[in-house]
Amino acid sequence: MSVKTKQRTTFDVFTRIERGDDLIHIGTVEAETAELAKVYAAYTYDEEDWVEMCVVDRAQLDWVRKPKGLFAGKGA
Amino acid sequence: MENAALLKEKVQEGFMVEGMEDMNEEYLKALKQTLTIVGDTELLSVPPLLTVYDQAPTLNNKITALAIMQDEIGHAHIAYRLLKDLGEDTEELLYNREPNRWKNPYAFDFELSNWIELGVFNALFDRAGYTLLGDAGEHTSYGPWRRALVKVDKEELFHLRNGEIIMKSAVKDPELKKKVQEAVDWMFIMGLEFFGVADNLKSRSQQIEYKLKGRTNDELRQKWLSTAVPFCESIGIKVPAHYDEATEKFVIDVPFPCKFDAENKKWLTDQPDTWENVIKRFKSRGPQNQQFVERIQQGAKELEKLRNEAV
Ligand SMILES: [Fe+2]
Ligand SMILES: [Fe+2]
Repeated sequence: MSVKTKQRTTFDVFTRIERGDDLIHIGTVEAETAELAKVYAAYTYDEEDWVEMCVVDRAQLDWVRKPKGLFAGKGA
Repeated sequence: MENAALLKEKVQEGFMVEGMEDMNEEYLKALKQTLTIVGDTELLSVPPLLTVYDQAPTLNNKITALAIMQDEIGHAHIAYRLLKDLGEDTEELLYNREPNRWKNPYAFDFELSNWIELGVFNALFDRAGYTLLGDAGEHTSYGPWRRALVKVDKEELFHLRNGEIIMKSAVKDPELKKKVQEAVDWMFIMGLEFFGVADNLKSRSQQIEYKLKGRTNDELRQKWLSTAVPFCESIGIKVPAHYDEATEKFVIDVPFPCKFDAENKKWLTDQPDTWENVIKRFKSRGPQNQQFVERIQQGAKELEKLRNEAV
């Protein structure tokens, strides 16, 4: 049996604990839509009373730089 | 094995692994194994709690128990999300895996008998989780996991404190105190088993060499004992371990490991056992293994059925 689900997207979750704090990456959720991603994020990452929380579709992140892999090019 | 030696040296010096390009195959495999055990343990902690949650003496107790279960599902979610980013098919892992292939501890394959046992579960088993994951949070070389553990650490502390509160208030009543003692009698040694095979029986540990964790099994067991024993003693509950001044270590007062009567949830402390047999017992699973895993998979399967009927 396979549990078929609609195509899900990975969203990165960012939060700020209090005004003036850094915005931090606290985790990820997977969801069919951004609206659902917001709900999942709010329920999953409820360890703080965040002043700010947002979700970003991972595909929308444009990387300027990434850590150079220790084995980059060599393959695992 | 040039890559292995380089990576091991790097992580011992404090190098943080951030992505697959920082890993060799061995590291990736050990990391996936570790995260699977962690995810399964978090998720399968919920069904035992569910067996008694409707016996909560007050509405507040019930709300707290529900909050804890929600936390555990969140912790499981984090571990499985990390696995998915490492290329695992978590859908398959969650909904199509046979019950006996799950990696949760043997202790979670049992129904709880009463509300007091939920308290002892939190106080002893969540303490084991707190000890193991606290170590990973402090030492693990895998960056995404280390960051994710900040939340987990905070919440596990809350779980174990909840257990202590339940136990503390129960021991004030002689009848309930008896129940606390009975629960501790089977759950304490279960807690000791969470940390796995004794160090002297383990030739080498990739988990430590690759710094997925920092401390050895016996070191972690000592750490757990160092707070579990004083707590139990402070509320007049007897445990089969004590602190030895001379060696500055906690000593277990019964043969460990020893045989376990699963039907009556009783340790046969007159029958010492080997770790080899303990692993066999783990693999043959406890009584509720199948039922608990089915409980986890049930919703997804029912939804799938409904979807198919609707088409
Ligand atoms: Fe947890
Ligand atoms: Fe917990």
